[in-house]
Amino acid sequence: MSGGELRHHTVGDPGLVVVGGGVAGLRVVQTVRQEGYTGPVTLLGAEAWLPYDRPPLSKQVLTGDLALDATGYHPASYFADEIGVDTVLGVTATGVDLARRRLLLTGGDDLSYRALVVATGSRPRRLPFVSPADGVHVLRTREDAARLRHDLARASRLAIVGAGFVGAEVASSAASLGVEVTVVETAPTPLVRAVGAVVGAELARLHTDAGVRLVCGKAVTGFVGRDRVEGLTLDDGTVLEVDLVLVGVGVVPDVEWLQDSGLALDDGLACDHHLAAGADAVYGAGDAASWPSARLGRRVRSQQWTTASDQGRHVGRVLVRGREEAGPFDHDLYFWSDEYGSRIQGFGATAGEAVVLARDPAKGSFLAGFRAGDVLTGAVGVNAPREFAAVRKRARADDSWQAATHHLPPLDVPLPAGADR
Amino acid sequence: MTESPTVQITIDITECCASGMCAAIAPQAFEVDTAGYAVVRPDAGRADLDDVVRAARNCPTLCIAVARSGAEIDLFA
Repeated sequence: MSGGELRHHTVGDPGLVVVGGGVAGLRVVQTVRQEGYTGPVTLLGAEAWLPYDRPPLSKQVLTGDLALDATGYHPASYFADEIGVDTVLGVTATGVDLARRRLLLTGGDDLSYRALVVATGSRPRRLPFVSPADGVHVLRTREDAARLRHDLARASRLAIVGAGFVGAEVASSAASLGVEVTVVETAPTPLVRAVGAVVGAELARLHTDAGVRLVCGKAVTGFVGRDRVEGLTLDDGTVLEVDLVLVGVGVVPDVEWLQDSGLALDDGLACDHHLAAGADAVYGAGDAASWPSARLGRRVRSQQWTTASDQGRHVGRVLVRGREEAGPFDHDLYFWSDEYGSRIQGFGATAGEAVVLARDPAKGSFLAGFRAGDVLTGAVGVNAPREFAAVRKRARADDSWQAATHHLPPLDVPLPAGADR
Repeated sequence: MTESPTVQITIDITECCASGMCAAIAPQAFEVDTAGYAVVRPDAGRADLDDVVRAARNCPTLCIAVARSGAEIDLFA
């Protein structure tokens, strides 16, 4: 095949339709324009807002370092005039008719497409209990952030269910606002499935060093309070008395609307290594899509902002240049998190055997490499941006353990005994 | 790269992820191009140094380096 679906544009063709106004959708429309596509482009968003930056919602927006409306990526004039993209906001897709190449919308409308990108993202998972009307939050959207910020200013005790990145970031933001915070985690260590027990223990220390109470190995069994939350009950019978709760127990891909479409769903929309969804001219990007990662050797649905952004760009290139020229999608799964003034960075597969490469307690710096045989599969750093960058850059060229880790720029103190370098 | 007598700001554009965070936090020093990537403004030297450092520290990929009188500022000191 020479060129993608959008290599050429003919008059009257309905062009590109992107469902989802998050960063993945934004990158798709930006990239097809950069690649020279001149036909119609429509970006549909279920929310009332033009694409905005979600990562600051748990961090800078809650602490007041960034105003809520400063999270917008570009103003309306950018879409209308600079890149010529029609934005349709507050509209939800309900299905797709693959044979007729039509996207079905709420209210019975539909929209023809020449190429369709599914970038509907994900929504927070909820706890399976009856929840009081007020004081129980999730965090995904601008509205969620505004509500949480409003309640945080009035709260004295916050419980966070789930010690994942969203939970940890909100814990950090709330603690900096003077709120007493308890984080409840079912697993014995925070983020144990994401980064393993060694790094998880380092991340646990960030909480406790900041005076946040971390309760691991206990599950939440219900809420206390009817109109407004008054506490949480745990599976050991204890009750945590709090006046605010944030639930951060992961996300669910927003793909139920595709259930009867004929598109394959497998942990989100099942895409191939080009991010094509198995039907003519349908692609997936972001949290809603899974793809066979060559790097991880399995089907992956990343929930990282950087993956969503890079998938959007990749789909844009595939649409214009074609699959052959654009090549398969590859990503090193870079992520970052800001907690208690510390910067956490990670890349690659970070769930195997972790080896501490460097540590400086005085600076709170820490770097661990993940090892599978003689291969460095990934790394996680805390306050070690130079060392992390060095390992990540080297691993791109040569992922052998020796090549990626020898003669790292040293942190200020010697390595702990037994560290392999 | 923009230079002023005291403050130098450098973006490693190969690592920029186009979050726009720098331009949101320190709009006097940074702006974004049509594809969303960060650009140091020509008059960035006049921006408040605290804002510039805060923007660099909040960059998702930490691709912004800030130096004062030739000495790079440690963002996580």
